[in-house]
Amino acid sequence: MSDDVLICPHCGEENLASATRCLHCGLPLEEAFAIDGLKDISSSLTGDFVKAEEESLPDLFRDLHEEADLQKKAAKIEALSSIESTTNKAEEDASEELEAEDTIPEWLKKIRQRAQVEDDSSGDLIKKVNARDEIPQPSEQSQVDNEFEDWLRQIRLNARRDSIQPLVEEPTIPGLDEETPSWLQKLREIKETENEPEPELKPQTEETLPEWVEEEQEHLASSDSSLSKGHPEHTQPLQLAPEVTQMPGESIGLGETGAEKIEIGKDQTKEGEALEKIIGQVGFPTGTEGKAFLEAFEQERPETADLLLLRSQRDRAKDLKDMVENEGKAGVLPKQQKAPRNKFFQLVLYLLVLSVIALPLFSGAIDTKINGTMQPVSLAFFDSVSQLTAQESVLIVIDYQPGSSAEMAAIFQPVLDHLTRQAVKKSFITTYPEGVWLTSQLIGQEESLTETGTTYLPGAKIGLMNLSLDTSAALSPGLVSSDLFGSQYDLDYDSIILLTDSFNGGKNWLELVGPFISADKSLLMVASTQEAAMFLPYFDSAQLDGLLAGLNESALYNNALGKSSSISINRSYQAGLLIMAACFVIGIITSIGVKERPESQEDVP
Amino acid sequence: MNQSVDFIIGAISFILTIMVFSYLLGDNFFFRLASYLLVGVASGYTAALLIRKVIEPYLITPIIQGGYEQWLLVIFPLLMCLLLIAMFFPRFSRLGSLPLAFLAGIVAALTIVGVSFGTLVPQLGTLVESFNPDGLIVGANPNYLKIADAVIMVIGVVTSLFYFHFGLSRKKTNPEMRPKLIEAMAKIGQVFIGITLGALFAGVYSAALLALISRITMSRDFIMMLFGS
Amino acid sequence: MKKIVSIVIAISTGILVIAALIFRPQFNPLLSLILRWGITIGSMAALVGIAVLIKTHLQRIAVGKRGFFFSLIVLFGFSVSFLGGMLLGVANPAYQLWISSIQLPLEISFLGLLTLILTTTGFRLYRLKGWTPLSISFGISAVVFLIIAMGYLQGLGNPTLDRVIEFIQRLPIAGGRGILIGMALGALVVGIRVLIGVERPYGE
Repeated sequence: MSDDVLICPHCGEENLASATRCLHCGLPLEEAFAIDGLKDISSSLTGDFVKAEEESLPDLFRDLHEEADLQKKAAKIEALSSIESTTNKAEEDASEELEAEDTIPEWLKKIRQRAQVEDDSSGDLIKKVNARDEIPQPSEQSQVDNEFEDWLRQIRLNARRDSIQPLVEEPTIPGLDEETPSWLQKLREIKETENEPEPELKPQTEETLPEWVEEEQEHLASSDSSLSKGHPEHTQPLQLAPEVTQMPGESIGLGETGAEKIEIGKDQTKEGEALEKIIGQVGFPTGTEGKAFLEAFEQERPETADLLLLRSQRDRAKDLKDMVENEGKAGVLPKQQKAPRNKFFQLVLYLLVLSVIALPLFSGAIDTKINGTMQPVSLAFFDSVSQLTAQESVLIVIDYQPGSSAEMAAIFQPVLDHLTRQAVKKSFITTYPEGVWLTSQLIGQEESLTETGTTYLPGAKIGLMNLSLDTSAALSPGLVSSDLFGSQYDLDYDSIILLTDSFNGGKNWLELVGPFISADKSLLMVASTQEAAMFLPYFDSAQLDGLLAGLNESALYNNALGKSSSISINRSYQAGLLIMAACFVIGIITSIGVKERPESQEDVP
Repeated sequence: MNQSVDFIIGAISFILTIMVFSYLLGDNFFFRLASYLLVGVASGYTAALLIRKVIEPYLITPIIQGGYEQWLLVIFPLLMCLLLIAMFFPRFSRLGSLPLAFLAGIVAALTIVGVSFGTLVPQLGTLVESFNPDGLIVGANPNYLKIADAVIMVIGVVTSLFYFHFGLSRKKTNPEMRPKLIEAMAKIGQVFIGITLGALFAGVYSAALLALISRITMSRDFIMMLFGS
Repeated sequence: MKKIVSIVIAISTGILVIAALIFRPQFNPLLSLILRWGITIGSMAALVGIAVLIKTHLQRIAVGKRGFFFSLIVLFGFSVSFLGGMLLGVANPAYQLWISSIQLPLEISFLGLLTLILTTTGFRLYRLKGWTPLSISFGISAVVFLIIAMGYLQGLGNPTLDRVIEFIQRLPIAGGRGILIGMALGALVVGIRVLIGVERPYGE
C-alpha cells in the first residue's frame, strides 16, 4: 500500500491517505488502518450497532439488506481477490521487510507492541465523530458523484478567486460627476466608442485572459443553450450589460460597483449555474481587461454573448441604444454652425453703418440748414422762456446721465443762449451725482459757476418732495429746524427748466414738484429724444408748459432766436436715421414668408 | 500746460472709446477692462459725494455743532444708519430691515400721493375734458377734427388699458383664454401701444446715434491733433 | 418680533407722511424732518451698497478667483476716486477733470455702441417676433418717426404735409396715456399693499 492513496478494503477504490471513510462506498476505512488489538474494539463497536439495527428491521428489508450484504460480499470477494494480489505483493514486500526486521532495533519493536495494545491517541471526541460517520448516508451513487465534483470545483474556484482577487477591486471611474449618474456616463463613453471605427474583435493579448476563462469558455461551448445564436447587434447589448442589468429586480446583483454584471439565460444547464456562480464570486474584470474578455467572448463564441442575456434584457438594451444615439442630437450643433456666419454678417453690417455715419464727418461736409416750423410743444417752450423778464429766477435741473450729455448739450445750447439774452438769474441743481461736473461741461466757460455753483439734491423722490416743501432747507442743509409745525414754504422760482433723459426722473418731477408749483410759474422740460414721446401726454394735460426735444427742434429754436439753424453733424445724423429705416424695411421684406421662430431659438446680438 | 493736459485727456478719451467699441469684435479683455474701470471710478466718486454732501451736513454737522435739541432730532437717523452699517456683516444683516422699512413707508406714501395727484387725476381729467362741448363746438359748427381726435384718444387709452388686463376666462372650452371681447380690445390696444413704442424706439436710436457721432467727432479731432502736431 | 416691528414702522411712517401731505401747510416742518431722515438713511444705504461691492471684489482678490485682475481695476479706480474726493473735495476742478475724463467717454461710448446693436435688431425683428398687430404697428411707426426725425419732410414746406406730420406726432399720445394710467394704477396698488403690510420689500 502506497502512502498517497488508500485502498478501500470493501470496494477496492482509491481514497486519499487522510480519509477515514471511503468516498465511493461510504464504508469506514478502518480495516485498512487495522492494527492488531484495535480491530476487535472497533469492529465490536460497529458490529454491535449494525447487528442491533438488523434485528430491528422487518423481514423484507432484512432480505433486501441480506441481498445488499451479498452484493457487498461479492464486492468484498472481488476486493479481496484484488487485495490478495496486492497482499501477495505486500507479502513479498513484507517478507522483504521481515528480512529487514531483524535489523530493527529492540526499542522500536517495543514501541510497536505497545501501540497495538494501547488505545488510539485520537481521544473520545474523535471516536464519537467516527462513530457518527459510521452511520451510512442514504444517498445515491450519482448524487454522491455530483456532490464530489461540486466540492472539487468549489475548491478550485476558491483557489482561483484568491489568485485573481486584485482584478476585482473597485476601479475609480475617472471624471465621475456627482450630478451625472454613472450609468449615463458609461452610455456616453460607449456612444463615443461607437462613433469611433469599430475595433477588431480580438483580445488585446491572450496573456490578459486568465486560464479559468478559457476553461469556462470550453464549458459553455459544450453546454446546450436554448437561446438563439447571436449576430453582431447583440454584441452591443453585452457592452450595455452594466446598464441593462441595473434595472431593479432584474439583475442578479453580481459583482462590485464598477464591475460589469452579466445576466445568465433562463435555460441554463448546471454548467451555466456554475458559470454564474464563478462570475458572481470572482467578479468581472473591468477596464481594458474586461473589454478584452468581452471581445474574446464575442470572437470565440459570438453566441455566448446572447447566452448571457434575456430577451427582455436585449429589448431594453436596444431601447437604451436608441436613447444613446438620440442623445444630444437636438438643437445645439446646428445653432453653433450658424453662429460664425451670423457674427460675420453682423460685423459687416456694423462696419457699413459706421462708415456711412463717419464718412460725412471725415469728408468735411457743409453745414446743413434746417427748415420748417417748430412743433406746438417746442413753440410753447419758446414762448414760456420769452415771457421771462430780467432778474427773474430760473431753476435749471440737471437730471441726466453722462451718456446723454452730448445730445442734451446740443439741444440745450439755444435755450441757454435764450436765457442769457433774457438776463434771468440762473440756479443749477442736480439730482444725479455726476451732475455736479456735468454742469460745467454743459455751460462751459460762458457762465461763472463760482458764484452760483451746482447743488446736489440727494434722495431722488424723497429729495424732490423735500424741495417742494422747503426749498431753502433742501438746497442748503445744515442744522435741523426745531419748529415742527409752521407755515407753508413755496418754491421761490419763477420757472423750472428740467433737463432729463429718463422718463422716471421727469415723471417724479411732474408728480411731486409740479402740483406744488403755483399757476403763475412754469415748468418746462428739455428732454432726450428717447423719452420725449412719453412726456407728450403731460403737455397735453397742461402739466408741462413746454417741451423741447430733438436736434431738429433745437435747430429751429435757434432759428427762432434769429441765429443760424444749421447743424454741422446733420448729414451724419440723417444718414444714420436713413440706414436704420432701411434696415427695418429690409427686415420686413426678407421676413415675409419666413415662419416665426420660437423664442427659445432667438439669437441675441 | 493746457495743451498737454488737453492732449492727455484726448488720448485717454480716445483709448477708452476704442476699448468700448472693441465689443463689436466680441466680448474681450479690453471691453471688460473699460467696464470695470467705469464701475470703480463711478462708485468711488459717488461714495465721496455722498459722504461730503449728505452724511456730513445731514448727520455729522448737527452732532458736532448743534446742541441738545439737534442731538434729539438726529438720534433716530443715526441709529438707523448704525443698523444699516450692521448689514455689512452677514450675522447682523437682518437688523437692516428696520431702516429699510422706514424708507419703504416713505416711498410708498409718496408714490400713492404722487401718482394719484400727479398722473391719474390729470390724465383722466384730460381724457374727460376732451369731450367738453365748449372745446368741440366752435361757434355753431362742431369741430370734427377735434371730435375725431378725442374719439381716437379715448379708444387708444381704453384699448391700451385692456391690453394690460390679464384676467383669464373660466370657461371649460377655453380654460386659458381671455374673454373674447377683452381679447379683441387688446388687439386694438396693441396697435396704439405699438405706435408709441415705435416712436420711443426712434427716439432711443436718435439719442444713441448722436452719442456715436459725438464719439466719432472726438476721435477725428484727436487724430487730426495727433497728426497735426 | 422683528417682523412686526418692521411692518409697524413701515405702516406708521407711510400713514404719517400721507397725513402730513393732506394737511400740508400745518405739518410741513414735521414732514420735512421725516423726509430729511429718509434722505440720510437712503444715502447711508447707498454707501453700504458700495461697501458691499468693494468687499466682494476684495474677496475675489483674496481668494484668487478667476478674473480677479478686473477686481484689481475696480479697486484701483475706486481708491483713486474716493481718496481724491475726500482729500481734495468733490468740487475741485482737477478732481472733476479726472472723473469726467474717465466717465464721460465711457458712458457716451456705451450709448453709441447701442446704435450698431439696434441696427441688427431692426433687421431681425420680424424673423424673431413674427407678424402680430404689435410688431406690425411698431415697425411701421418706427420707420415713419425715423423719417420724420430726419427733417426732410418738414423742410418741404407743404402745409398739408405739415398737418399730417402734426397728426402723426400726436398719435403716440393715446398709447402713451394708456401706458401712463396703467403704470400709475400698478404703482398705486403696490404702494397700498406696502402700507397695509401685504408687500414687504424691506426683506421680511
